[in-house]
Amino acid sequence: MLRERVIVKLKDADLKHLERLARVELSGESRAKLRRQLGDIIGFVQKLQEIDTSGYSPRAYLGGFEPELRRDGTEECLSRDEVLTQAPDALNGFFRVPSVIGREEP
Amino acid sequence: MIDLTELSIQGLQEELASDRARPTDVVGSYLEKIERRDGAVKAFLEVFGSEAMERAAALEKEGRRDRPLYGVPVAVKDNICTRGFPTTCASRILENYRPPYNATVVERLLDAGAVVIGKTNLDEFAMGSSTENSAYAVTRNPWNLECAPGGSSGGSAAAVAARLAPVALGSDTGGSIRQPAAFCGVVGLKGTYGRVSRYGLVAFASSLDQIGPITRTVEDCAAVMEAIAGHDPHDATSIPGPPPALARESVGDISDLRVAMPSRLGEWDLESSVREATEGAFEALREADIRPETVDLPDVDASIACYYVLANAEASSNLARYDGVKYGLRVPSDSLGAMYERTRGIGFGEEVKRRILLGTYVLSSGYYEAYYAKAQQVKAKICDEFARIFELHDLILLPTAPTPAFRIGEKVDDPIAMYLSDIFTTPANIAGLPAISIPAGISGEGLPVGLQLIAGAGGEAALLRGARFLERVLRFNERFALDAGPLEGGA
Repeated sequence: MLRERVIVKLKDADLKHLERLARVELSGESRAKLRRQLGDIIGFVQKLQEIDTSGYSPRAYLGGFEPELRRDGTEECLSRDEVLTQAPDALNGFFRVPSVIGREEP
Repeated sequence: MIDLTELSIQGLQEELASDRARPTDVVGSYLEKIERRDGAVKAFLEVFGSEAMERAAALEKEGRRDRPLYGVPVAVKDNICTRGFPTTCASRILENYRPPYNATVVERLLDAGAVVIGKTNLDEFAMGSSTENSAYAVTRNPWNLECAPGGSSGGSAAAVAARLAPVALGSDTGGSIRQPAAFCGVVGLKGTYGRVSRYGLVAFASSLDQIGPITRTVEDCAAVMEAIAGHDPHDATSIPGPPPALARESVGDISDLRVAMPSRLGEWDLESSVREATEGAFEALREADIRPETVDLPDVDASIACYYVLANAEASSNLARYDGVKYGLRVPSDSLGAMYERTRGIGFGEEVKRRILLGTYVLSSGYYEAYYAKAQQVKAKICDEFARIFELHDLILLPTAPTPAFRIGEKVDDPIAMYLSDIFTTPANIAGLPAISIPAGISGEGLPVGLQLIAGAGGEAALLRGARFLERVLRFNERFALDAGPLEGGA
């Protein structure tokens, strides 16, 4: 079984790029460990490159049956008030968030 | 009076039908056992004590005892939505979340007369194989409290094994029902992709996730699967048409079933007890005049690599919804971007962040073709290889996991070692096939060993029929009982 491990080294800049794409802030102490582990896992999935897949197109869905499309119309759904009970901050029927315009995004 | 917590669903229903017990007695017995034992096991994140008793009392008033799960307590994995009750996914980010709706499976359980008694622990967002990635508690294996119950449905499997519920629901993305069922000596079933509605299951990897039952017997498993299966307009991937009548169709002899044996079984790195249990099951089949034929399975190493690319890619997309705006945790910040990043940085645990970052990597520009598109091609190949096997065979018999339960803490710092405990379970998810784990034996250390059967798409009835046969000849429940002493504080 797959026990030999390919080592892939991720640079700190690579990790920073991923953090930004994924919108996740990592704490200082976990960065080095995570960078090493991510490199190991990327090495682990290199196995895929050795598999001959010629003749197979990428397959996202199983598609054993035709999905039923629903009628394109409105249906009963949760009320706005019910949904907003779970929001961390809401005002007058809206989600409230920190200001978006007029400040530079980090 | 007999101990109601030792009865199967059928046994419970006989007691209820003949008025020897009422639903409040059944629920009360289980709540009392949870009170005594869950301090040691920690299977539950939340127990609905008074609500479950009220529901049981309401059932008694209503009558309608002919319902298939009348008065049966069910524990539900905490990534399945329960209206008005916490649904945390064992994550800080959903600590205070109370969904405003029930998952379809929960509605179906209630329609069938069941009583939801609580929510069970899991690896955060079902990401893990040991239930150690929970933000709230470490669940312990009832057979040995030093060992992990497996995962990610470890709370559900431990609850059933420790007699804290006769039935629990789990979810299975790469083995998360079957592997903990094997580790805890109980039965766990994942249906064909689309058999059970995913509406109200908090999404991890949508093309792989399936909800399914964990029970003590195959018969109970069939009854619960029949109650929760079936088309749901709220899930576009749910299989159209009525589901099979599994309780009835899973009964019968198996002389018509063609069982396949993996050709590389001898090469696999299996713990000796797992190898013995597997060989014992093939021997039992031969004695019943079922001659297993050897087949080449899709490469299990390729499957697990394919799985970790696809599952994490989907997870990175599905978990984008936790942004501190719509529900769950918000860590206040002075800009929107910083709020997203801090909320997610603090709200998600280590394994979840690892997977989101990996999923982001394989989907990012420059890597998409080499990893994500390639994994989808591998998936197509695996599906094709299984389809060819199931043209000639009905079932494949193989181990559920390469080892019995491992010790708590043993694999937490080595994600790849942890991932490899799913090596035999991920192929069925990738190909969307039904698969079941049943308890088959006990290791030298006294830990249960599970065996897995996989069937072709839509083959749940044959799968359950085969599982009932093995259950009958292997006699796990008659031969082995866990020592409840340590669960009750050794006192």
